[in-house]
Formats: sequence, structure tokens, C-alpha cells
Amino acid sequence: MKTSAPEAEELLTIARQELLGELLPAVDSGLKYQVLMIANAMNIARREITEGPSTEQRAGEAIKGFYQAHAPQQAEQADESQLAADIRARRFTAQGDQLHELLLTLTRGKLQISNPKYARGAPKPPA
Amino acid sequence: MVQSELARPLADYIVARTAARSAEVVVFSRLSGGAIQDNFALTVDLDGGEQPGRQEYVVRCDAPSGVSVSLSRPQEFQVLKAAFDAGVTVPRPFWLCEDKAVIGQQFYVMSRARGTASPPKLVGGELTENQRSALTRQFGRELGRLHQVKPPQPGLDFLPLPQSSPALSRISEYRHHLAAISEPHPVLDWALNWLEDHVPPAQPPVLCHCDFRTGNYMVDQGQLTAVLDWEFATWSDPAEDLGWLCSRSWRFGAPEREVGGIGQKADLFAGYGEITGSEPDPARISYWEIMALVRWAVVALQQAQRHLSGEQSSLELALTGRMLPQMEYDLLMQIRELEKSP
Repeated sequence: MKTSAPEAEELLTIARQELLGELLPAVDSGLKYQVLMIANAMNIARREITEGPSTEQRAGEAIKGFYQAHAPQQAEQADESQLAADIRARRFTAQGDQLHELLLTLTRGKLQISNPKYARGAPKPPA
Repeated sequence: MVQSELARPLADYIVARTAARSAEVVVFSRLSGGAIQDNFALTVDLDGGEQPGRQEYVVRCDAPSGVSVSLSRPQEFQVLKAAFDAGVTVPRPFWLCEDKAVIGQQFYVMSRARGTASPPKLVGGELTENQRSALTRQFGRELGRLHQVKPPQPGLDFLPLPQSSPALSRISEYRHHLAAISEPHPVLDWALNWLEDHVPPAQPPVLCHCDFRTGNYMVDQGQLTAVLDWEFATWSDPAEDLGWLCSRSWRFGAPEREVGGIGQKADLFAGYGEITGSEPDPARISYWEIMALVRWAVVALQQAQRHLSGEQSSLELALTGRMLPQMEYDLLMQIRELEKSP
């Protein structure tokens, strides 16, 4: 079943726009922080819808690629939980750089959804 | 009791403590509150007694639903007294009331500090460069004074002494918390391994604030007026406080200002050295900055759990959980930097 337009991404976009454009200027200063939080939540949800599946796929591929190179027997089932458990077990100590690169790839992927500006390193302007 | 009904019993309590003839309530309002404690501003005009005239207080009490892993109000009061006696710039602690008959909760009364604790205002541009430098040096002095308080201390025997090194205790604690969360966090596991592998030799434990950061101190016209929120204080490695203050997480949009988004480490270390006789070892502080990132990540996960479990439905708690990739990114970048530097 195909839903009617506008779809989730568009709904979140326009709802957030009106929240910030119409409501934010009109609410008491005590409520402004909450409005900004709501706007942020809507942004995260929107990016999750549009970029979540592809980000997860890329993450899965990166993990599998790493395991194929360094622990091929586990490559088939390798996922983030397996990776975490293996790190705790002090596996991959000889692959420090490659492990770091994998973790950075996974983290950048998550940041793309939760806070894309963060990894760019530019200091946020003062509030 | 309803909030508005608290003012009179509190004013009467102060009349009794100060031997005043009477008190008129001028101001009574909530300053801030959370799940665990409430803070109220109380201004009274006292007629005679030990504190005649207009007095501005803060009353800090347990929240009605308070469940806490941090210090109780009576314990916090003892810590505040110890800090005050050591010359740390804190609100002056006046009276602790453990009798719940007065307002329904235990509470204590302290002086009210002037100024703002708001990170956007402090980091965002209210302060001049000279003020920033002076304030950062002052942070160092305050921690230096606090860290002169060493165990054992009468009145502070409720504070547990670290079993082994404070660093190893923290690592163990955070691994334990992570294990209770089903969602994987390989970066945190990786960072905890690094922390375990690089533990510096333990220093004798001292009284640490354990949440001294921008947001928990007040500044009025460029001057520090109070260090607040002592509920996490405990005996620990002094580098823990310095590392927490310098953590990337608490720079509030000014990452180039290493110390709380306000100033530079050189000033912080100089202020600390003025009081203690020796400046901190930068490598130790860098270690504890890493620890600070992991600690905040674990706390953020726990806050998200409070929302997810239904214990406290809150957008703020939910969003805090979504901050994890930021701490994880900082950990990956900072640890690599530390490994690469000589």
C-alpha cells in the first residue's frame, strides 16, 4: 500500500519548519528550549527515515569486510554486537589501525543521522 | 505541600534559627529542579536576630519522588561545609533540617549567589578575554583548595574510600553499566580497554566534586560566585576533577577553549599550582578527559534507559541517548591523538 503524499519525510520537514517559524517566536522564553528540542527530534527522525536504511547497510558491509579480512569464520554473522564482544575479549589487538578505521566509519554513519554538523569540526556559533 | 505553602514554614524555620522576632517573605520561587532535588529562592526580611535585614537564601530539598544514587541532602550539606571550610567559593551552608515535619522533606538552607550558571551566556560571549583567563585560573585555585581536603575527615565518613585506584574502580563500574544495556557500543568497549591499558599510577585520594563543569558554577560580572551541585562528590584522584572540567563534552560550542568552553589549560594549571604547590601533569589530565567522555557516554545511556523503560518519559532524556555518537567520535579522535603524540 502506498501512502498518500506528502510522506513521512515531507511531513516532518514542514511540521518542523512551522514549529520554528510560527511557534518558536510566539512562546514564552521558558518554553523555547523545549521547542528547539522538539525541532531537533524531528530532524533526527527525518534523517533516520531518509538515510537510516542505507547507513545501516553500509555499516553492516564495513563490519563484514573487516571480519572477512581478519576473522573470516565469523564474517557471515558478524554484526555490531559481535564486534563489541570481540573487542571486550581483546581480539584484533594486532589490527589497531584497521579496527580504529572501522569504528570511525560506524560512528560517522551514526553521526550523519543524529548530528551531521558534529564531525565537520566547525565550532557551533554561540547560542 | 503545594509549593506556595512552603514559604511560610521555611520563613518560620529561619526565624527560629536566627532568633529573629519575625520574618516577611519577599521572594519565593523555584530556581531549578529535577527528579532528585528541588532548589528554591527564598528572600526574607528578618526583624532582629543574628541575620537582621533582607537575606537571600536558597533552600535545597529532596524532590517528592526522589530516588537517588548520589548523596542525600544531609550528606551533601556535610560536603558543602567541608568545601566552605577549605576556602572553596561555594554558597555558605547555614542549616540542615532533617525533620520532615517542616515542609515534608529534608532540606538545607544556604546563601544565594549572584550571577548566571548558563553555558550559552558564559561561553557565548558575555565575558572578555581577560575575564576568561582570570576565571579559568580561578577554577584552578578552587579545585586546588578543594583537593587539600583529604581523608579521613570527621563528618565525611559516609564517603567510600576507593578500593584500588579510582581509575580502575571507574572502569569496572562503567563496564558493569554497559553490560546491563543490550544495545552494543563497541567504541565504548574499545575506549575502556584503552583506559585499562594506560592507567597512571594512583595518587592519594582527595575530596573531588565529580561534576565540576560549565553549568555547575555561577559567574557574576566575570567573577566566580559559587561552585554548585555537590551531589556526586567523593574521594577520588584529583585529576578526575580537572579532566572532567576539560572534557570536550562541556565546551558548549567553543571546542577551542579547552577548559569548559571558557579558557585554556595553561591558566587552569597555573591557578591549581598556585594553591597546591605544583601544576598538574598534562598527561594525567588527558587520561581523565578520556575517562570523562566514557563516563558521560554511560550516564547518557542510563538517562535514555530511564525514558525507554517508562520510568520517566522525557524528550530531553530520549535525546540525550542520541548524543552517544558525539562522545564516541570524540573518543576515537582523542585517543588516536594521544597515541600519536610523543
